[in-house]
Amino acid sequence: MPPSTTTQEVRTSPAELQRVRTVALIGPPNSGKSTLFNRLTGLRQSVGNYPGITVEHRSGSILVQEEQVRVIDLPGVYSLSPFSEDECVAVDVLKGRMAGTPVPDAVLLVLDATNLTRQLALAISVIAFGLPTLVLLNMADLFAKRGGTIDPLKLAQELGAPVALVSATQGTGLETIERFLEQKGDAKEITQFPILNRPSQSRSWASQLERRAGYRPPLPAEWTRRLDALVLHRIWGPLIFIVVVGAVFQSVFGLGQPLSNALQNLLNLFGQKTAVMIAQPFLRSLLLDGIWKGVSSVLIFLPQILLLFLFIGLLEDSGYLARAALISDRTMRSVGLNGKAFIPLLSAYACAVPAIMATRTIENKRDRLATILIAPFMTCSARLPVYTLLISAFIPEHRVIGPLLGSRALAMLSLYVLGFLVAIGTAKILKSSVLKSASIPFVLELPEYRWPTWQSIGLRLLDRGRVFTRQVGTVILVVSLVIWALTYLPLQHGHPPQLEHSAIARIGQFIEPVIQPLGFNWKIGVGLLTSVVAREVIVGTLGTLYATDPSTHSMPLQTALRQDLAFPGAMALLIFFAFAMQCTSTLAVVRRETNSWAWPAIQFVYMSSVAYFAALATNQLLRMWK
Amino acid sequence: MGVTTTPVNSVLADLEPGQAAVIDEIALPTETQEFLRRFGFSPGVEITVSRRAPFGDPTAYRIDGAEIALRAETARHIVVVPLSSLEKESG
Repeated sequence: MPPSTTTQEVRTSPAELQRVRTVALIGPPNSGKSTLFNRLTGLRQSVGNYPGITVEHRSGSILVQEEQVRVIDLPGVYSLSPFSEDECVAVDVLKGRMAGTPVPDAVLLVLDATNLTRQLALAISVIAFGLPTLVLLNMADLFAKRGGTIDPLKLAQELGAPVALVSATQGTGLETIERFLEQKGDAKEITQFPILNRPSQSRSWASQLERRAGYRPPLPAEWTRRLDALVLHRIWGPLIFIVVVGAVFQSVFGLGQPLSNALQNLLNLFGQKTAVMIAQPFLRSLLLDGIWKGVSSVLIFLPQILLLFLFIGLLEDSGYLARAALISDRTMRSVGLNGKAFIPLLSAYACAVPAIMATRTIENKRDRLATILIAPFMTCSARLPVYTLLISAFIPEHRVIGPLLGSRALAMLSLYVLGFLVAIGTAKILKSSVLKSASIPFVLELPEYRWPTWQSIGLRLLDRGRVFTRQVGTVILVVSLVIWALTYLPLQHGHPPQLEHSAIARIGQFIEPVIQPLGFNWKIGVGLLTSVVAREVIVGTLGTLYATDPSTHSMPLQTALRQDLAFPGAMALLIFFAFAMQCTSTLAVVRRETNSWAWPAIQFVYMSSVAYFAALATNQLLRMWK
Repeated sequence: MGVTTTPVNSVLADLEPGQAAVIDEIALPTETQEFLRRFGFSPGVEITVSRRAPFGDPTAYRIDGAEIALRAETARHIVVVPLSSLEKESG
């Protein structure tokens, strides 16, 4: 059978193409596409969002013959039939219909060589776009090691596009990509595949094509099989699951806390050394109390955030996160969600913003919305500054279970559990009412276990670190400055006022009647107001407030807090922060993901009400009990 | 002999780990069929039960060289011909 049976029509594009300037990288999830993208672009990459929609836009550049070629990393898709938003983005970019994204003049199609069959339908629908396409059969090393064979030339003939065997993790075969990109695009033949119109027959077509290309699939991955026998074992599986999740927590707090303390000391020292050099009182106050205290009190939590993302990255890249989804599916289902929600909800422990973005892996729209709505109840890293401050100020450290668990760790753990329980309760209510559904089946791919690459993890940390510091640098700095200005104004006889007479005190005193039943005074009230922007802002706000108050000026923040807040009120504040939606970034991201203001509005009102009444109950009960 | 002329159909959810079968029909709405096809679930494809999740559900299947997990509520609607019964038929 001649290969031309699949190639019905061959035409030549009229204009000679110039050299490749923009290349799109496309491939199914788990094909190693991101690893290849990182390998090609390294640090020369940036992340943003496509305009108007929620899909992440990742692009970078590579040098080919001293000329920059832009690489657009398209979202991982199984198919180009526009079902999901990701697939629509891929199609729009390939068609050059995506605003702000240059039309790609070539395509790198990444396929996993170890399970080619089901990817061939995607391959031909990409090739059929008519852009010069290089088909990359990734994981060539694993493929060969496990006895897989293929004739790339034959496959190229069948597909009407060049084919190369590569390994993104080993970095082999990548010179083909450079050669492909440096060739001044010749006139291209556009291959048409009639099978594209008969999707129900695509599977048998793929088998025939594979036979002609001499494809012999590799043996199943022996190590993955053995590891799964252990990791998904009836008894060992859940135990390993608990140990892994426990180890992540232990490391973040056991390792992250000393690192944070060290950074705090460093930042304080720098602030004090700099302050003595500034003679002008206004400028010194602005720099030290307005900017430096506000920013540094938040910056010190960077170590913990990076540690958490390090672990999530390791779990995801190694392949364990998918197993965790499989193990947790049964449990997640009892609240109406699926195992895939576990991944975003685990990420929500670092930050709800990326977690809500990660809900894109959930195909079922209603499941996805429910996950988005409960994600902010998970204890995110922005709550850690508040929790750590209040716990270390109000809960004395003593052993609860030997050296393993102290009272402070237990308090922290309880807050995690509390947030989780309310999230689950909320999910249950949502899934049994407004978001009830069960149409799209739950499908979970278990990728082979792989060693995570430092490059990929490193780039992810850099990316997240940048996002976090950008928040510190802009949102929090602005709020810190506003707060400082409100404490510095209105000037009285050319001097800053006493704190009780400042503008901020008036606002705080105005809302005090509402929060007094919760055990909070007006200073806490000011903190609650400013932390609507971002939870951790309250730490900076309180820092600024106490630093400008003569009676607490010289005290560390914890000591100042103990003077100002009773134990029941402090606990109520912890509870308030466990539940309240004090995060502008999350609200903005929810609006974008749900494409409406209604959901973030409902979420804000719901979470704030839960927080208010839970804090009210905590304060009243503890006062009665004391 | 008359008993084995027609292959014995069963559903994917009923197979035990280690058992292999060929998908005969996916008795689900067209849209769901299309969705499952992305992962390799299509009539005529051989499928092997890999293992069940620790709590008994979902179950991981080996299909086209990949490991894909489905819940029993989905696998119940995938009609398969167990390979042992196919062998019986041809032998």
